[in-house]
Amino acid sequence: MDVLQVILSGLLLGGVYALFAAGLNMIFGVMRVINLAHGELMMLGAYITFFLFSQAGVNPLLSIPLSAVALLVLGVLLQFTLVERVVNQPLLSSLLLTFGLSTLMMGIALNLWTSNFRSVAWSPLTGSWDVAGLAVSKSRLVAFAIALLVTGATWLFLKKSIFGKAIRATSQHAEVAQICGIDVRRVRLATFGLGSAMAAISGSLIAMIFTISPEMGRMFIGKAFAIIVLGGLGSFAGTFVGALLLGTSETLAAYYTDTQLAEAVAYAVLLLVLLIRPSGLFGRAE
Amino acid sequence: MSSPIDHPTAPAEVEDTTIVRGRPTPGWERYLGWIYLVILILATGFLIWYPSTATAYAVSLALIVLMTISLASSWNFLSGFGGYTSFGHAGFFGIGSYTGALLLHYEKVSWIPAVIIAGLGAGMLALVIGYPVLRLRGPYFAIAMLAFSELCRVLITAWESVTLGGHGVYLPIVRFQREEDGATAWDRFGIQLHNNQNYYAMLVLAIIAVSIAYAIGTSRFGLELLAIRDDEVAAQSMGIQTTRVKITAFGLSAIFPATAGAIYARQVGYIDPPTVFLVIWSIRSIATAILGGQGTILGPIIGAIVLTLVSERVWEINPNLYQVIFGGLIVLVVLFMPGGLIFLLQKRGILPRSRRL
Amino acid sequence: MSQAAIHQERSVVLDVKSVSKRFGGIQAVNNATLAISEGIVTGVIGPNGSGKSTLFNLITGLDHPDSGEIHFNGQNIGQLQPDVINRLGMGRTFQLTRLFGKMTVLENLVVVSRTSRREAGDRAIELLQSLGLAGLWSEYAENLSYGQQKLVEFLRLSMSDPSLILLDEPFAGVNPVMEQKLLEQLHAWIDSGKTVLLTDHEMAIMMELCQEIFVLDHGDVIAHGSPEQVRADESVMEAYFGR
Repeated sequence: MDVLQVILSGLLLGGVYALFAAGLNMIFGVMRVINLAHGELMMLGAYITFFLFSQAGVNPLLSIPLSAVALLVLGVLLQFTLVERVVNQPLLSSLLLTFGLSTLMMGIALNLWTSNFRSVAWSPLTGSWDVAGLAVSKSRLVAFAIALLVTGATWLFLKKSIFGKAIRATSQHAEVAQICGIDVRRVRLATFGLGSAMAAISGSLIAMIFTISPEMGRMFIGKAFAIIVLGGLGSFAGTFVGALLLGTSETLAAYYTDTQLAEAVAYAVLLLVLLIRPSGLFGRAE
Repeated sequence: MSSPIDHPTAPAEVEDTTIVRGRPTPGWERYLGWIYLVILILATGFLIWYPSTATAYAVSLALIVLMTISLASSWNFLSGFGGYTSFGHAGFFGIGSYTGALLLHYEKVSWIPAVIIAGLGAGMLALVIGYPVLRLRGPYFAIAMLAFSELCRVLITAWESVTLGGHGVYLPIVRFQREEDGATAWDRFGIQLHNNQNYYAMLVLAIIAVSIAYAIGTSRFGLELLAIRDDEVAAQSMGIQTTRVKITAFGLSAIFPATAGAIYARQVGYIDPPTVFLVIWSIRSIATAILGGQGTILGPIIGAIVLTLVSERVWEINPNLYQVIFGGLIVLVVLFMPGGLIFLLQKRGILPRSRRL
Repeated sequence: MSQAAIHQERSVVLDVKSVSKRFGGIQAVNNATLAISEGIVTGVIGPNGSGKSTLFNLITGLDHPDSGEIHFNGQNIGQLQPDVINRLGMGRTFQLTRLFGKMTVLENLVVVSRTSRREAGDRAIELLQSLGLAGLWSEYAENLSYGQQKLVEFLRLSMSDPSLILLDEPFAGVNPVMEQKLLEQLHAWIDSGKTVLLTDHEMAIMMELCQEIFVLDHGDVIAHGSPEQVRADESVMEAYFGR
């Protein structure tokens, strides 16, 4: 029973990871940019939820759309002013740029909010429900549900809507998409904005489950890479599966060994996958 | 234009320049090696003398500059020349730090061997992991090294029985020696050496790092790295042994952050995993190298001086701005000065144009 | 000279036996068999998408066949790395020139040589002078014109003195003057006993230059023989002009 509970807990967490990683995946797919600042975008979303809750008593669930919009705007802004400039440059430029942004944002956050851990303790979501004899953390279940909703909505959007198709076309072959009349610049702006919003939402959700600090971004980006590489760059389904797998193995590792080693799981998985099968489970070989 | 075939033993002459040892060397560049040597000797002399008149604070600052020079120069080996952006310097810094610190903590060897073992050990580790990791292309390699650094941190923290985990490792502080009455100049110099051991160790390390950078930059090995950076597939198709070249550069580059880490541990007297594995060490190496100019020899030196002085100033004003400055700097350099300070100075005519710089 | 006569007198330097390569849903090369004879110019032609580039990549080691074998001078090279294959005596050019852009022309030539740097430097200057390009020695390769780049790529190839040379569409987008120089270089190679395997779309040149031609279509070798034989082959017409 215990193990099942742990696995379930891990799966729920994985859902939130999936949302985070999907945004990163999308940005890479469309622009070939590895957004090393993605973790800090998540962190900002988490802090928005925290401050709205602790200063204004806003229901964390209500804060989600707010943090999403805020980061959507920030994302578009970042893309417009900075990231767009390095899109067609060699990889090193975008790697360094986003790395610099990540360091910059983390530094600003440390300055403003200190490195103390904060938490959002909202009474309706503390404790757990009994689901078929298993104790399920309320916050995790709700977070999972919302993450699933958003990820599903995004997937539908990409698949069915016209702009979604434009995004997919651009990520498959940017030059051809442009020739077909797609405004790739606008696609990139939207993608970065959307990816940032997804990161923000996942951050808000994480704030409901864990304690947060300005340095959390660094931790989660490692997990996101592990997920994307495991699932295969460019594959939405792969990201989801990879996220669930990672969430579960992490939680199991924390349960059986100590929390320290649980952290190592993501990195170990990442390295193993890169060395054995870089294209991941579902990835297309580039 | 005389034909090189007429004078098989004399350097080929094409127009008014000379080709020496198969390298293009217009006019003044022939003397670049000598110019560097002179500068090196003068600088070394100055730096050896420096602690006798400087405050302890100034010396520790100079130590940081020298350390940053080693970090950035060595980062250049694989990442500047070869184009494989590595975020592994933090990992090697931490490994070297811990190796050196633990060797001293358990009193296995004295400090100089400890530092050397730390450095060479990391070099060997890099050779071992280099083979699988360097098969990965650009973005995958970068991510892998990020993961590697973090994995090292986590493993060292977890292996408490040996590494004392999160508690950290305390190191014996170097006892300050005082001058005796009637001490000769030689005695005084010996005392100065003793009291500033870490500084002199960093000086030696920096000299070696820059020398190796020079050797690479002016050798065929360096050309092969540049070829790999420009087009690895073509390089390999033309017979360049890319795997061997990359692994060698990688192994060489790991020695320096590790050695620096070991000396640094001694300098501050206490280390723990979050401090020495902090990705800031990678950031510092990278920021300095690109600020100065990627794949150049002087770049890391200029970058280190500028960066350290600026960040010390910033530290005085507000310690938390540290990261902000670094981050902002990287962003600015990438966007507006991708060639670094060296390139900027060359454009302004302050420095002569040459990729050899 | 009849095909039989050609094969009788010459040994086979490159033996491609039933080689196949699949990429996802596409069979790029399908059970292809070619025998390249020593000292002559062999051509591979075929419409776009016929698998020529893939075949070249398989031969030079940039990719490995799913099945079949490739023997170079008797040695099985199918799973070897490109640099190893190059060191065995095979050189190649690329469809779109791949010089080392941020290095000078001289450095491009010197870096691939295997002799001492002084010798390499001398040889490089010699080669540049033979094509009248010596004045470009200190130019960064990315600043050269397309035609000049193609010539330098040829020279870079010569630096390692390969015995088998693969040229991937060497005449694409090249003006007549340049074309003449490329042809001269090619003939110089043949005169010195090297073997050349090339692919191009310039039919006139291929027919005139090659002593043997293989025709690829959709990954299959659909014809081979002397230029006259291939020209008369109906399946070749179909492949090019549609079915």
